[in-house]
Amino acid sequence: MRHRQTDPNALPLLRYSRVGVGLLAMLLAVTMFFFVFSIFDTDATVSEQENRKLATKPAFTVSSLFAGEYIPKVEEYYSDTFPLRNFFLTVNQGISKVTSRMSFRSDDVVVVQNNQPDDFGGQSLQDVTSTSDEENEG
Amino acid sequence: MVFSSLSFLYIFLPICLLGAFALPKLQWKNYFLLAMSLFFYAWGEPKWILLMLISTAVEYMGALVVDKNRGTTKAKVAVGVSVGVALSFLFIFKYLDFFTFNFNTIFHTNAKLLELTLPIGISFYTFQTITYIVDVYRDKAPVQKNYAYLLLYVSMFPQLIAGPIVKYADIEAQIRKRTLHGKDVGEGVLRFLVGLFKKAILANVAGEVASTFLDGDLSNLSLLGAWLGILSYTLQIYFDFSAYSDMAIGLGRIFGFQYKENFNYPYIANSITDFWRRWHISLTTFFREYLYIPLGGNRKHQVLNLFIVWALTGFWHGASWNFIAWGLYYFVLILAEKLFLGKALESIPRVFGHIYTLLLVVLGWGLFYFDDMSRLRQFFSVLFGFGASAGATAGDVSILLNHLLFFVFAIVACLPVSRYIRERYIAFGRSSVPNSKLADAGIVVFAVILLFINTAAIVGSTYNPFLYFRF
Repeated sequence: MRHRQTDPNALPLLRYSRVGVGLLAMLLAVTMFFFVFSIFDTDATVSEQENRKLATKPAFTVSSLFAGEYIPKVEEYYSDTFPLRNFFLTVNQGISKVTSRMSFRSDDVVVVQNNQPDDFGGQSLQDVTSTSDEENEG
Repeated sequence: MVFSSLSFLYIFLPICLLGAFALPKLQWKNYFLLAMSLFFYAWGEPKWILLMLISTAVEYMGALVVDKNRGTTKAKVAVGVSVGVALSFLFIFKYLDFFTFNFNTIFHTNAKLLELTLPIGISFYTFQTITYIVDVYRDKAPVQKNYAYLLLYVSMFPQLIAGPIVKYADIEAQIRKRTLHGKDVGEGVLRFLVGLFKKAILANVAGEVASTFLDGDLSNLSLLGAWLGILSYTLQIYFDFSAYSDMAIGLGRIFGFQYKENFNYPYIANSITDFWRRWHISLTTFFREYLYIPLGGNRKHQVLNLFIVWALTGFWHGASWNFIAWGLYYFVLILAEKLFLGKALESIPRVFGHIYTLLLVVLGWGLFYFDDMSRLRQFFSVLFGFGASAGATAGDVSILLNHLLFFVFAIVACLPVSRYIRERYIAFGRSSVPNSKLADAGIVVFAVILLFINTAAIVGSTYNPFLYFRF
């Protein structure tokens, strides 16, 4: 293996500015489209795929904001009602098949044999097994 | 706010892009980016944003005093006090409970723990503010008279939460003047999307495998399970952390900031010294320039200096004994390489250097992972074959086989293969005019596919089925 310092400018991948502008325009157009779409579309209330009620828009209070409760609820509401959510879930199941992740995400319903219902503290198994996304922060 | 969330990707980012490109003057762009960065921070940390503002204000005022009193004792005092204040904030929030707890254990006292939540990014922004005042003191950068601009440097959202640690001297000129080139912006978009892929797919899948083996009851862990667990964690921590740096560098580039590289294929290192030149480069640079060299570097009491630097490098990663042990582990290895091992490694075929390095780095991640000492001991005994439940269970083998394709892909992704492909691709694009057009179109298609896959993976991470329990 040759040892060289990474220099991203050594040979630019893009020769023309217009391609760069095109990439930016693509990113902006797609993200803006879903953002605007999510404002105007009607929120789904139930997910049949997941067999549960979806989150509703949380009410804003200053105390809930500083208690750190409001924003996670907004995140949940936004992801639960994201446009084409069911479609993306299906696509992700396809990705999961390739990566063979062992999570319970690839099945609609998982039947778990368990003698002690309180083992999971009333949470869904997903909550218990999901890994944190916020490592390396702080 | 985390980059791999729908609220970042599909609310924050489009607003930010639109504002930053629609506003005409650099000054307006800067204030807009500052406002967005503060919003980004407050989203995840509504309570402690004030601490960041105060910490920056202290360094801001300290630097003004330094600038006015150059060459005098007053300047030295100002640096000392400002750095002291920044470090004491970090100490109170991150380390005080650790010391109180250990004090209580040793002296059987009952001093109260503060139990503060760690403000997001404090370990990173504290170091950034230190580079500011020290760079001003060393006359490497001019003093910043505009508090908002200093705050923009500290809080700039791409690098605020997980680095890279950007030195003030490196970025100062870009805050005042920067020109946007379409090529830079495009490379930034690609870099961001690749980083997001590393996080949303590679790091998360590796993390799930690692967690299956490392988070359960270790007395059920087999020998194969222990190695699969720690190797998956080795992949996860690299993809997770370098993904964050990729996204930070990419986003910075979109807005016209050039951040230095933070990772350089660390797992192809052929010595531990080489590994630390490739892993979290901005942190080792910080410790070298702002601690090791001021302590005397290799001119006087080098061993002591190395000891201090590596103990603190470990401790920086978390207030727990295992992180200190992890830092000191590298102190011993690097010292050994300086004394005799380095020369020995040079005299044997290179492949042994790679094997030696990778093995020690993987074992190091074991130290890093377990902050519970009894679990740490138990894990290492299983890893070396003592007390393992079995050599391998059928479950372990099936997990390995199910993820074989993933593991091959992930391991290849740790090697400079992507650089090779990139170079071939560029060569192809330059070979003729039609090829050039094809290559350009290919890049855009690649970006669209990446964005699509990333979105699906992020939506998929919110998949939360209601589970039936059969009792």
